[in-house]
Amino acid sequence: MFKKLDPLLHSELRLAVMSILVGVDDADFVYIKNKTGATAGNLSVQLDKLSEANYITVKKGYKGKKPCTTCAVTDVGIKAFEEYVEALRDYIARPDKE
Amino acid sequence: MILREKRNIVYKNENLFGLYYKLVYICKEVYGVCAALGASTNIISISYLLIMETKNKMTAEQSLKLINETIENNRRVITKKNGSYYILWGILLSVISLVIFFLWDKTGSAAWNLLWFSMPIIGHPLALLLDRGEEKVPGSFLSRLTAWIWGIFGVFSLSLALIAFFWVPMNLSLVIILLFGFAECISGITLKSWPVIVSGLIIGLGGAVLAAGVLATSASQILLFTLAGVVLILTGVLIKIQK
Repeated sequence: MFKKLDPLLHSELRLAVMSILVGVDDADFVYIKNKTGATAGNLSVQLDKLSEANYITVKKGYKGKKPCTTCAVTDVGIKAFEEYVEALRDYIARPDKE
Repeated sequence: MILREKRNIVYKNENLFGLYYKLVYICKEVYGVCAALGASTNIISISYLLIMETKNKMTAEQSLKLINETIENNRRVITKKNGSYYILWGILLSVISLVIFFLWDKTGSAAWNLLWFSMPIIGHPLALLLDRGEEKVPGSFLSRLTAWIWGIFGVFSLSLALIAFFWVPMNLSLVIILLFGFAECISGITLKSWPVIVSGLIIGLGGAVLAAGVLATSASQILLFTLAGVVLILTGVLIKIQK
């Protein structure tokens, strides 16, 4: 029996965001937007979905006078990401059973 | 039957009440059409969303490929940022070591080695300026580890210099160049950069042999640090241009 793929992570943009955040302490909105190539609106929606599931934290602050949104992955998010990768490996390792 | 009768009554009576019932009937009909339209609009919207969600779903291979590429790109961005710091400290090391060599050689006084303490004083503000100028890169375990490696090297070098000046004289160049090579090798391993590892080995071991042998008492031993600075600059450039 295949492990179930997390539907929240099984989306291109959300997966890209999580892949960026697992490798860093935190990242600001502009950095994530530049690396994923997403529009600001779409990225904002996806970050909200990940935040609601407690996969990431989103902190809104200021750098000087400029507003700055910083995202960081949570322990729950790291665990979900690890389980997702394990499930993917399971799918790839047993292609004949698909 | 009743409705037809009501309609007949409405059409037969042309007074206000008749008009009122006519309007109510028309509004009810219009409302019914709108409700039907609204339901179909909702069905269309939901179908569109489902189609878009399905389009955005990936195969298992695509997902793993995306994860690998994203993590690798991120690591490369952080590594390239480290390249800038290698260039900065390489230039500083080369310039200060050349200045000390010329002054020591001309005056014959090893006291000019005190100028080494100016390196962190000049270097750290320049590093902060460099940080502001470049693209902001998020902090990571890798970048913190590299910073700590060189920070510890700095602490060891400074401590050994103070011990050598005030307490136990020793061949400082031998010890510090060896520490330098060690720090550079470890940085290369963490950054997975072969040029950094190899240059660390060459400078560390080669420099230690020269410092212990032919250059032991001469001002020329300072040129080992000039060479170390040049190697730092070259590895910084290599890291930045690495694809």
